[in-house]
Amino acid sequence: MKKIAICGKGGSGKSTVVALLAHGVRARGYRVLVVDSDESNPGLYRMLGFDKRPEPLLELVGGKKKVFQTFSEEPESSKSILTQEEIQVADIPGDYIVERDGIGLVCIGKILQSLEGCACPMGVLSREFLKRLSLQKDEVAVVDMEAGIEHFGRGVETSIDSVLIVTEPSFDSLELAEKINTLAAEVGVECVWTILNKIRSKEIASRLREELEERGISVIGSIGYEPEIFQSGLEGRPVRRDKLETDIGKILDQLL
Amino acid sequence: MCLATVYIEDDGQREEVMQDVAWIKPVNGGLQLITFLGESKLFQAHIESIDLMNSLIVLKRMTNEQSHI
Repeated sequence: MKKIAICGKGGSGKSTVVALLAHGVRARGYRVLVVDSDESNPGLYRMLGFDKRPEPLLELVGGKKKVFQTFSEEPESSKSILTQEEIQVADIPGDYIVERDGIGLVCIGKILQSLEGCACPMGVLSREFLKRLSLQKDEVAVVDMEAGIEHFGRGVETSIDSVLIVTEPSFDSLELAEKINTLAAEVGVECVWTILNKIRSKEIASRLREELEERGISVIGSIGYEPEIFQSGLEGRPVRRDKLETDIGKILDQLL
Repeated sequence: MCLATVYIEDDGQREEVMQDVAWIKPVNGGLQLITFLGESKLFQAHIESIDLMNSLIVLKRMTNEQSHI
């Protein structure tokens, strides 16, 4: 069904929102594939309640270092799901996906060493995987993008249906939301919204909403500041949505 | 982006032939282009220019005479 990308400034709460939305979407009867497209942050699997991270999809093409040797010696032998025109969730080999209770997680790749080079190959892999990912009617993909806007330069959003910009109460976050809104429209994303996050009062929510609407950006909903979420982030525990169920529900009413 | 878009020039015309090219190696007097995901194409061409700032590589197709040298 839908491919939804979660974007925003570093530290705005993208991964937390991904976890909250994934559980919320699942509770509405959809199967959810979470795509970890952030090459830096390591802990999304913990936020979702998994014990381990899946093997990165980058390894399906041999990783950044091995791949040239493989392809240059024997290109025909390097068939993987990534060469398929359409990839179903069921096609993803077991080591490369962790699943529980209707939520799956795949990881594009992580920067592991200093001086290993840039993350461009991971951007290309994200773009191609999302482009080829073929979802059933009862499946939704939620993509945790890297912070900032470089992924737009790599065209990762070209096959995305909805972009949600997580916006926290800060001027930088507003500025970046405006930029992302423009970039998402340029690549042809049909639905672009912001989610207000870490909101401590109605006054702050109203102020942010006004600021964003003045910049021509639609607000889909607001997620309150929740000490329990802060605490679970500090301790590396799964994100629980109990106290934010109403906030998430209002967002999903419009999103799905 | 580091992965390149490759064009080929022929009779003054420039045509895009491949995106996301990660490797180029000389093969049989021509050039083998390989994308990040392993797609491979061989061209009887030489490199005309490499623009690393914009991730563009331009090849120039060899004439029949050049390709038999």
